Amino acid sequence: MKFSLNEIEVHGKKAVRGAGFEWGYAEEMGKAQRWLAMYDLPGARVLAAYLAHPELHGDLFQVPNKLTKRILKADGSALYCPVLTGAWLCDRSSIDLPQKIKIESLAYPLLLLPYLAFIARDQQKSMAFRFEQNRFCYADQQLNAEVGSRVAADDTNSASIVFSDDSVAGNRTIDFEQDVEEKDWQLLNQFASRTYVPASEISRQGAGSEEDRLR
Amino acid sequence: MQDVNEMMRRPEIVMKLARLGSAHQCRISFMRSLLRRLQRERWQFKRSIWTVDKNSIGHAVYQAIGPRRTYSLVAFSHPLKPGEATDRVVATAWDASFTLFDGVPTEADIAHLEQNIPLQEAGRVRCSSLSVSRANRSARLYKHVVESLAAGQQPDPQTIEEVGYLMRTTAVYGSGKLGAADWQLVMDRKGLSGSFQAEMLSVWLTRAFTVDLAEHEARMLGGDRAVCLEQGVRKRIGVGNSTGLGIAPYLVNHPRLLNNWITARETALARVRALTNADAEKVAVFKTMLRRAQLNVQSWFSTHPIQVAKQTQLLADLKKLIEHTEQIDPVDQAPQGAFWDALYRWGEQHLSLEGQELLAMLVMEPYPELVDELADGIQADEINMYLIDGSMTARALLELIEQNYGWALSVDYEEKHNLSRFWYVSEEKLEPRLGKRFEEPGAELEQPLCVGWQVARLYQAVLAWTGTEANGAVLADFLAQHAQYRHTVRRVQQIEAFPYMEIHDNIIANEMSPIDMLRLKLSFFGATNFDPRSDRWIRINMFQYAPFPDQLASSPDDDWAYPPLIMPLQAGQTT
Repeated sequence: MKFSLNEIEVHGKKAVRGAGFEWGYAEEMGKAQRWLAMYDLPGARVLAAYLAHPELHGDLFQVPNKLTKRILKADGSALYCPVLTGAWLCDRSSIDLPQKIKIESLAYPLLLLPYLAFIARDQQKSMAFRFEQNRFCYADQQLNAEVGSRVAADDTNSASIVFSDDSVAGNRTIDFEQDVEEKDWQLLNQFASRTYVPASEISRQGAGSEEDRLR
Repeated sequence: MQDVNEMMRRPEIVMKLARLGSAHQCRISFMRSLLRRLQRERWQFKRSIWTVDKNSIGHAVYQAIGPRRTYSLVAFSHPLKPGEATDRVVATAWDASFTLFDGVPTEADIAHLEQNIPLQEAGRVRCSSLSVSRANRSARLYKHVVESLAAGQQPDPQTIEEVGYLMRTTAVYGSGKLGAADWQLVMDRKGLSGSFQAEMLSVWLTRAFTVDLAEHEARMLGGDRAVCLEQGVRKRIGVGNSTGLGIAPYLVNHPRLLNNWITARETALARVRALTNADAEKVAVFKTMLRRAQLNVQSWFSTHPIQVAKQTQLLADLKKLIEHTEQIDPVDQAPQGAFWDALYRWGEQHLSLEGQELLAMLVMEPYPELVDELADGIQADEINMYLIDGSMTARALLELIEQNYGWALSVDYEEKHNLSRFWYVSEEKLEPRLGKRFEEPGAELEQPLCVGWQVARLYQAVLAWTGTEANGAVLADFLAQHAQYRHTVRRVQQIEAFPYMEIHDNIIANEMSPIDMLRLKLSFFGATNFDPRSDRWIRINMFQYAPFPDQLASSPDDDWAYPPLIMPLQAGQTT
């Protein structure tokens, strides 16, 4: 079913919040979902897969605490959470972000892509992101993508990021709506609905008095 | 000419909820700027399809043909049985439903819309729909108008005055909801340049439909005896609108847009106040508009105690203001400054907030050349992500908060009454509601709308943190350990670029009145006649006195917001 970019953004935001992340992370991933949908990349599918991961809030997914020699590698068999890692990179982008970064253990890498695009736009740079035979180059709203079969991979042990001043000739048009599979939408909905307060009589009163039938 | 920037009213004054809740429409409002543009660009209008039958079932298409594009209102009539209609968001059926279609709909388009538009939230539309809305008939006026016209008579003027609309919309959706076109699709369209222009166009065309429908039913009822509404009567009919809490969170969730609306309005006011002279012709326009505004306020028929009090106060203000303007001479330069500025500052001293805000809007009326351009294209970037500046120091953030969020820091959040409410989204119909924190469940699912409280807690947390960290610590480090403040940090960091983005009041306090938030947004739409039904439900009238599509080309420029001074006689009135 087709959804507008606004619906995709809001749904993603609510789902991330419903899955237990703070609002700040949720609104960032909402924007990320909008960005992926704009370029018709399977953002909702990958987000649904991630949020449904049984160990979502366990030790499996980590956030970086510093870059060592421009390489990010999580402890042991852990992976970097794209939501937290994306935010972390954004926060550091105006401080000390290197122009080349390698990430050796990243979960659901497609979800990190929009954050890198946001950084590129903010810094007025171009960005290249590679993982699993996928290559994305982005600058000035132009996306050049070589999309491989593992674009929706649930992890990668080798992702690379390069910020530069290279120009980019886009090969993907911007769309204002996207086809999202029902099962992915419903999975996200399960999380999103955790942000709603169930119906009750006292809740209905909180919406305003029963509408009069006059006039 | 004084410096316009110096004349701008400061956010600490303007963004207080009590003042926002006393807002009035002005030249900048969305309805007025829409009609100005349609007239300037010489849009053409035609009703291209009418299939409504003798039982009032069917559809109609109204085309609005602009220089670059055509937009079509597709209206469906499916009247409910008397007494069945409700304005609540939880309703599942309505008397009529509408969509503004991007272009001219084909038969296949209309067939698809017919399956979905009457269902509203239970249906889906494509991005060819720019807005989706629904309306119910006025129980008091609709039937009366149909029966009068069917009998060959005009309806009773008093009833028209008291109600003012044949139908009222209970929601007008845009921006991607239900699958409709995303804002991003239309934001660069010159014909829809500005805020809510698709929605306003939809409501304006809906107004024509409501009249056509009533006249149609009159013909079905009365045959040859039936007449149409006289022009003077027809003009008094607008489109009602029934608004609840749903739009209140909008102001908090779209801070940049709110800032841009307010900035446009305040700039307009500042430009007028900065003038060093006021010629007699401009002052005459002002005085006329003042009396027309008085007529409008006199016609408010709300029975709600809040509104009755405001109306009483406003009428008293208007009386004082009219007396004062009769005494002052525009040619005589007041020692302390220019005419309009002196008048405004007199208002600050002598009028209530309602009176002050009305005066502030009225002084703009004589100056289209200074004001109208500010309405064009009021938008904000709602698409891109605003990155948190992780390099900001803790000290810099604390100073930013101290300088801009004093209103938030001065509240004692230990006092229960300052935390007594919480905003949430209900599972039922996904609508925003306001709960009582200490009396009902759900506060753990609170939406991040309580900006004041969030900023106060952020401030305390940063203060506590700075005390324990080494020099040079930056926000990126703070946020790595305090993720719960990401949302608020991002918000606070925008305040200097968007100084009018915050409501300077605690919107979870016990005494907060949600209709103050509704009133602000509705004033920007261009509403007059605010009629609260409770502290969180309000009725307004849209486009009352505006020209109809068949009159727009020959109408005087943007002269309809307030009733004309010469009013036709009321029934029973002899002078």
